[in-house]
Amino acid sequence: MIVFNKVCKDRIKNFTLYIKAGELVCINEEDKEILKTLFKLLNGQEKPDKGVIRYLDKGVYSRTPPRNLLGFVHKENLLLPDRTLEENLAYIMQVRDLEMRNHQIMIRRILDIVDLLHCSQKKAGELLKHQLVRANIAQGILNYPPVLVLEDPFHGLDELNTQGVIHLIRRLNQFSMTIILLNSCRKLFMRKDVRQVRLKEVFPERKDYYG
Amino acid sequence: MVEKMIFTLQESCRHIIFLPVKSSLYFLSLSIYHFLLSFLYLLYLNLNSHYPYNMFLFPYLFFSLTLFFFINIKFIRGYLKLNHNEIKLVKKLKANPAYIRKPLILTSFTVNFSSLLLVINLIRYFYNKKDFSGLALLNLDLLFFSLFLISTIILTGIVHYLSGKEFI
Repeated sequence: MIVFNKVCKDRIKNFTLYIKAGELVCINEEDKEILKTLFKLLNGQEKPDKGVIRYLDKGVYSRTPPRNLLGFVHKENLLLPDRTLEENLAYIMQVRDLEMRNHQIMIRRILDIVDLLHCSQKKAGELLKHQLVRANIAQGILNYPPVLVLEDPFHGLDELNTQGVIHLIRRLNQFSMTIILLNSCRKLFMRKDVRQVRLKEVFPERKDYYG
Repeated sequence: MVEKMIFTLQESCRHIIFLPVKSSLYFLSLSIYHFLLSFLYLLYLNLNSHYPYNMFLFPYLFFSLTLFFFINIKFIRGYLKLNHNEIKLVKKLKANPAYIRKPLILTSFTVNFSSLLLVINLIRYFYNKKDFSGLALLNLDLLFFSLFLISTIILTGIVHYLSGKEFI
């Protein structure tokens, strides 16, 4: 689905990875700058110095991220402080040119998925940290993208809330959503079936990353 | 389409209603500007027969346009500063910046239109109330139409230019 082929950018050297459809990949890297670069590379905000990133969408590989293929969950809080959670999501739907017919029902459904239905009338300042992470995930999945990229979602969360967010991510993965988790948290407990990748462990000589 | 229009209306209402001091200041300064402009136009019409043409017209056009630019740039920049969270969000999501521009254009357009309407009607009322003999015949509808057209074009240009700078 997404292929990194010997990608070089700043401190990322010869990064090669194949991400299959429906997979949950956790890319572990303690250096947050490297994670940010990787996120920007996936976002299409930056281009690799060497190598290519290819995205498979509707049977065609492209070098630019297709518009509706990827959903992004940013590390920073994106919600506007003067609006409620529901208004925020409606605003994001508008600016992203998403279909607005029955948008209130759609937003409630999304909030139900991320367990924030009871907070729909709360403003961003009234939400707890893990609720903000869930709200950010909600804005990422507004158009039900096939691939969701999360930039360090567990930063600053305690263990209990981290497990709650992991549970939510696994549930999204069960909806056949491919998840790319960029993680800087050292003590992250994931199940064994989750594919764990470390940037430093990827060797350029190996050729079996393509499946 | 309807949802997008409703969204633009809602956002411009948010600008006007939720920022009452800014909006009323904007309205007041635009009204003063339109009043001065119309007053100068009246003066020009009535002095035209006695004074040379260029001596009065060009400084009058220059100063009025400068003042109009100044008022609008100041307030639209203020609105953009108040919208910095929205701009940050749109930049981050690589979304459509038209959703910031459209409500801004509509807000400035509405304020401009209402202030112009108020001033023109006040002038019409006072000018026609007293029967000044020897004063030039005034076509206020033409004045209203031309001022409205010019100001709309200038406003759209200013909003596009200023918001474009924010999105770079």
